[in-house]
Parts: sequence; structure tokens; C-alpha cells
Amino acid sequence: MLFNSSAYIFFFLPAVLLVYFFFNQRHLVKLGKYWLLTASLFFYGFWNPFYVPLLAGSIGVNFTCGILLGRSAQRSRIRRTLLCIGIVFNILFLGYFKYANFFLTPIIAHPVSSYDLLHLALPLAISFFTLQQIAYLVDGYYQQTCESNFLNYSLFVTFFPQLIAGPIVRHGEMMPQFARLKTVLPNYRNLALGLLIFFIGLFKKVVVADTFGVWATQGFDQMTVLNFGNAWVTSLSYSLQLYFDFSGYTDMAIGSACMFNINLPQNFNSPYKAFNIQEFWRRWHITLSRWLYDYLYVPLSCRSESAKLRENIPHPNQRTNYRAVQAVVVVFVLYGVWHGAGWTFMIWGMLHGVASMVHRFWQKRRTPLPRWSAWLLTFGFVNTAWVLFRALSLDDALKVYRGMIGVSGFGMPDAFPPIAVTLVFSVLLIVLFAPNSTELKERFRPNLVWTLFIAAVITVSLANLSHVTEFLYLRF
Amino acid sequence: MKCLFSYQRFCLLTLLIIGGALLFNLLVWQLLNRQLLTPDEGVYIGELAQTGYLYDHTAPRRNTIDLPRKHLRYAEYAGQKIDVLTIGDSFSQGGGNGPNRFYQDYIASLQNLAVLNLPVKIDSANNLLESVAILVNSGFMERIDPRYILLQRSEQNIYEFAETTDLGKSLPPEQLDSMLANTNAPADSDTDPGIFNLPGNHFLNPANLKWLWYKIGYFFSRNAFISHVYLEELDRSLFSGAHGDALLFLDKALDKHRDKQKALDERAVRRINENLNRLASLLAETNIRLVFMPVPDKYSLYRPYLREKHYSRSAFFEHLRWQPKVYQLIDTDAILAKELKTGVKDLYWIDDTHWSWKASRAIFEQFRFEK
Repeated sequence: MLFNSSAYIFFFLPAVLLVYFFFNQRHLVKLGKYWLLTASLFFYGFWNPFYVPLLAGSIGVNFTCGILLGRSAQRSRIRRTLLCIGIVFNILFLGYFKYANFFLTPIIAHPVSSYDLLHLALPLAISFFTLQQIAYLVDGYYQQTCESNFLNYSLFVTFFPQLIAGPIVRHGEMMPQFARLKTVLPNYRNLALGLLIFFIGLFKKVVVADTFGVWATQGFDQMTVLNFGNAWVTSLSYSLQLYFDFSGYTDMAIGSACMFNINLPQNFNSPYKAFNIQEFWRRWHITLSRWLYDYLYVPLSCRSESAKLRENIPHPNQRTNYRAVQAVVVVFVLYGVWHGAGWTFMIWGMLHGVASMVHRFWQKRRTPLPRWSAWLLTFGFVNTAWVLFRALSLDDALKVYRGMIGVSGFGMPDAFPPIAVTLVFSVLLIVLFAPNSTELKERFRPNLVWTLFIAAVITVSLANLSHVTEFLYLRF
Repeated sequence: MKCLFSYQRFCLLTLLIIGGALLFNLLVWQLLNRQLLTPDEGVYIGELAQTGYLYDHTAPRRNTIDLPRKHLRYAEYAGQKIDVLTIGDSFSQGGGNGPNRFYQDYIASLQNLAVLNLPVKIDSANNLLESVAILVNSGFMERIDPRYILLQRSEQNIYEFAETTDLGKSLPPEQLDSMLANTNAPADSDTDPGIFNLPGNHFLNPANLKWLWYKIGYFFSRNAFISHVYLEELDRSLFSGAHGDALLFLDKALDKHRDKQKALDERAVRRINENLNRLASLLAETNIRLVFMPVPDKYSLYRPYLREKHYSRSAFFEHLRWQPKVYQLIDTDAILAKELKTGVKDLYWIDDTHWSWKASRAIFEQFRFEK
């Protein structure tokens, strides 16, 4: 079930909300949680019921590991072993379903090989709930969180607004909210905010992202040669499609959760406004960046045990030693690979790793670029790198790159309607200068202007609901 | 701005807005757009009315044939003797729909001729002239051995005949046979098919908002500011229905009036004529006579009856008429203009870019193939 489907908007979400608060108002809080858990599993299983046992199995193993971690003595070998077992299990679980064929392909291609590819369907959301649970285990190891109630833990993993594609939430930031008294009763302010953000997200997805998606698909998949104009319209269309698709999804997730009085963390903060690559990664997919920083970069780059214990962690910008450089490259390569088992994702990650290193060394020289050139360089790099993210193969990516540098001719974007060019630049200006949905949420007041605004957003969004398209990040 | 009402009231208003939006979509779709955009099976509504969301300017019709003799489709051809081979765009594929939608059936019935239609689409050909040349050079025409080839093209796309045309192209017979065997769809349409991309079959549909926009927009603008379909007023009723004095036409028909590069001026028409003559000479080598049937665009044909004439008339036929020809020209513009003067209704369909059976009948009552 997709957030942008009639079934979710008019049936699932209202039903779950109504029943949940019905139970809570009658002090049946536990029943309310069971209802929420059941609804979340239904939401997940709607894609394919086969996925539910896999999810349940993953929850069971991680919860058990968490319980055992909680009972073991601090700094004991058993404790470290349990953490390793938990992390290895999650990595193998993810690796088997997502990367097995990638590694098997060269073996199978060998002439003497008699093996065949594993015909595995990628369980939905596996990349997200696996990372979420690894984070839980590590936080549990450092005694920053602990969950002894299986219902609560299951709810933490499966809570449907964030289950499928994030934001990647930490146990310590979500479950205390469920425990608070004011969470269990309906709150009209949160309901209003939730509706506002949800429909802004819906508009971003069905009106903006899907429009640019048509042109991105045309350029990437349907045209064999791209001239200069066509290549830039294609790449910019994809950059805008990806941003509006994913941030739209996140808004709908945050809006849905808000209606339940649960605040999910922000995941996008106008990333295309960034003036350097480091700032970009503080604004794009914030919760994943946070996860990679806390659970990969810090352990890889810090020497001291105290640092590893999260005490007195040196600021990353202060570290340019070999270990830190290595950590950055590893993190970004894994960042790329997390998105998909393919060489294009790996190269995309490496490019960003190199860009981050270049930025670090440049910063040390303390000669900042003028703001306009810093922005142009950053956005230009990000937009160019997204081509690898979208291309189905290296040849496809090269096709677009050849066009972008004019090898295939310096023509106008004649393959696209004039409105495409106008919209690309207009929407880019809006992205750069207009407030984002988090800022809109902060400015929201229940008055006539906002009512008219939401009326317009709802009217246009609902009218475009008929052609349901998948969210791009569901593929990861 | 201050809070004018409570969050509770805001939530209620939002839910009311959602309900209102659903109701609006449901009503507009069920009462108006559904029948316009997804008519019942077997019922056809013209693309102009659909694209312009002009549900009250429609002429719903069914495809029927009651003529005594019909033409052959390529799938039905099994070596029969053919008098006339027709090659063209959507007009040649019965694009207008309705009763007796194929002009070829009128040729067959009125003149007792064996007619075969070939929906040709050869990728390596730049235009229909090259397509015909490829068929000749590849030996295909020798097999069919028609006495005539009727080449039909609508005026708004005819500029391609003025471009550089290589009549020496050919294809291996096997490749050609394979291409023709897979040709099920009609040849390239008159217009960019993207213009007629219609929304799907669901009541939550952008078509409902477009209907509202166009409904208001046509009051203030001939094309509702953004539509490809223009709506102008005639000084007499030349179509059936409540809006018989309304003329709908496509903006593409205006390209040649507004875009110098696409203008069918005397030079362009001369080049068209030269290319047609070259093709006619090529066909003559195999004892086949070329008949050229350009289709006048709806705007130019009905222009004399418009209350306000915002655009000039196409001079294509005027330029072509006096050119020296090796081929035969069916002057559809003169024939249909004469018909219109009699006040005949629905010579073209009100809701379509295509003509009706009345135009086909009029043309082939006046134009005779020599025996």
C-alpha cells in the first residue's frame, strides 16, 4: 500500500487513527498498541504477505539479542560477542537478499560454473529496518536504550509511517513518545499539522515528482543520443524528481506519524541550498547520514577507546589523518552500495567520498569560495553525480554525460516540450528560495490563508491521485 | 497572521475540503468526463472534443459500413487483383470513425474498383514519398501490381514532402515483408499523439480540474489559454447538435500560418510538386499512375464562414493547382468547398480533425479513376 494511494488516504489511515484513539480514550492503551502493530503488519504485508514472516523473524532475533545485551555485564566479552552476533546477523540478512546475486554474477558467468542466480525478491524496507535494528543494538550496547517489552519493540520497528522508507528512527527518540500520556489522546494541533504536512508531501509526489519523472525517464531510458540541452534537462529533471519524490514521501511519513502524536525526525532540509558537499549531506537523507556517522564513521575514524565509547569524540572536521580519510571513503562507498547492488551506485558513493575529502582539505586552506560559486559547484556536482544514481548501467550514464559536455552536439532541448524547460528552472528557483515543509510547519497557524493554501494543495493533489506511481526509495 | 480559528476547526475544515474535493471529482467524472473520455464500447467521440473537454460539442458515433463493396485491408490480401492501392495517414485508416469511415469503400462501391489499403510505416523513410519509393524499389509494387497508387496526406503535415527526398532507397524484401506483416496500427497520425494523451479511467482525475479550467477559460480565450483546441464561432450552423455554429480545430493547423519555417509558401509548394512528379515518374516505369489526395485542414475549409477570421487561409491548394504535374491531383479543397456552399452539415465531424463519410462520398462522386 502506497502513501499516495486512495486506499491509504481514505481507508487505512483514517481507520487506524480512529480505532487507535478509540481504544486509548477508553484507557485500553495496550490494546491500542496491539492495534497499531497489527495495522502496521497489515500495511507491510499488503505488498506481499511473504515478507511478514521475514520481518517478524528479524524482529525476534534482534529483540532477543537486545534482551541478552541488557542482561549482560558492561564491558564483558559476552556483551561484545552478542553485539557482533546481532550485527553480523543483520548484515547477513541484508546481504543475502540484496547483494547475493551481485556477488554470484561473476561466478555464474565463469564458463565452468554450473550455478544459477538466486531468484530472490528483495523484501520491502529491508535496508531500513535492518539499519534501524543495528542502531538499536549498538545503542543498547552503550546502554543508551533498552527495551524489554516485545510489543513496544515490535512497534518501534514496524510503526507503519516510518517502516517502509524511513526516516530511520532511534529507539530512544520514538518509544518514549509512545510512553507519554499526551501521546495517547487525540491532539487537534498535531492532527492539523499532520494533515498539512501529509498533503504537502502528497503534492510533492504526485504533482511535482511524477511530472519530472516523465522527462527523466524519457531522457534516460528512451533516447539513445542526448544533445547538450536534452542532457541537462534530463539530469535536472531527475535531480528534482528524486528530491521531491523522497522528501514528499518523508513528509507523508512525518505527517502520518504526527497524527498519532509521534514526532519523527526531519529527513530533508533543503539540500539543494547547500554551499558545500558536507553541508549537502547534513541536509539530504539526514537520518541515514546520521546513522552512517554515528555507527560507521565514528568507530572507523576514532582511535581511542573513550572515543569509541562516544566520549569526547573529536569533531570530524578536525581530523584529516589517514584513518579519517579512510573512514570517509568507506562510509560513502557503503552509502552508495546501500542504495543498490551495482557498480553505478558504488562509483556514485566513491565520487561523493572524494568530494568530501576535497572539501576537507580545501577548508583547511581557509580560502572560502564566493557563495554563488560555492553553490554552483556543489549543486553542479550533486546534479552530475545523480546521473550515476539513476542510470541503469555505466553506458547509460556515459550517454548522459556525453550530452552534458556537448560531445553529442550543443543543441537546444528539442526533445522536451517548452514547458519542461520552464518548469525545471522555475521549480529550481522555488527549491532554492521558498521555505521547505519543516519551515512551513513551524510557521503554520490555523487561519484563512493556511486554509486556502491547504485547500489548493488538496484539490490539485487528489485530482492527480489516479495514476499511482511508486516512490523511488522503495527500491532501496 | 493571527489564528482565526482553533486547530479543531481547522481539522474539520480540512476534512470538509477533502470531502468536497472528492464530491466534485465524483460528480464531474460521472456526469461529464467519463462519457466524454471513456465512452461506452463501440462509441467514438472525436479527439478535439476530448482534448478540449468540450462535452457539449460532441458527435458520438458508431463504426458501421453499409456500402455494397468494401476495400481490402492488407491482412486480407491474398494475391487478388488490385486497381487502387491507398497509402496515407489516419484519414486512410478511417480515423474519423462513424458510418462508412473509409473513403476507400466509396472508391470501391461508386467506381466498382478493387482497393487495397496499406498502412505503411517504414522507419528508414523520412516521409511517405520515400516509403512509396522503397516499396517500388524493393519489388513490392510488382507483386501487388496496382493500376493506381493514391497517396493521401493531410495538409498540416504535408510540409515533409517539401524536404529533401531520396527516392532511391530500398529494403531487402524479407525485411519489408516482416515490417508489413507486423503493421497492425494505422500509419502515423495527423498530429503528435502526445496532444491526445487522455487521462485514465478513475474518478480522481486531473481531467476534472481541466474540465473546470477549460469551462471557464473558453469564455475568455479561443483556446482557454492553454488548450491545443481552438473554439471559434461560425456565422451559420454547419454541424449537427446544439452547437452547430461552433468550429473546433487544432492549433497545429495554425503552425503554417504562424511559423515561417513551416509555411506552405509558393517555394515550398513548388518543391512538394517536384518531389511528387519525381515519384510519379518512378511509378510510371512500372506502369503505375500516381494520384495525390491532400486533405485540407478544417480551419482553412471553414474559414469563409467564421464570424472573426484571426488567421489567414492556407494558400497551399492555390499554389499547387497551377503547378505542372505528372501525377493526378484530387482537388479536395475545391470539391469540399463547393459542398460546404450548399450548407451541408457535418462534412467534417464537429469534434474531430477528420472528415465524415459525406466528404468521402462527395470527393469520389466527382473524381473518377480512368478505367
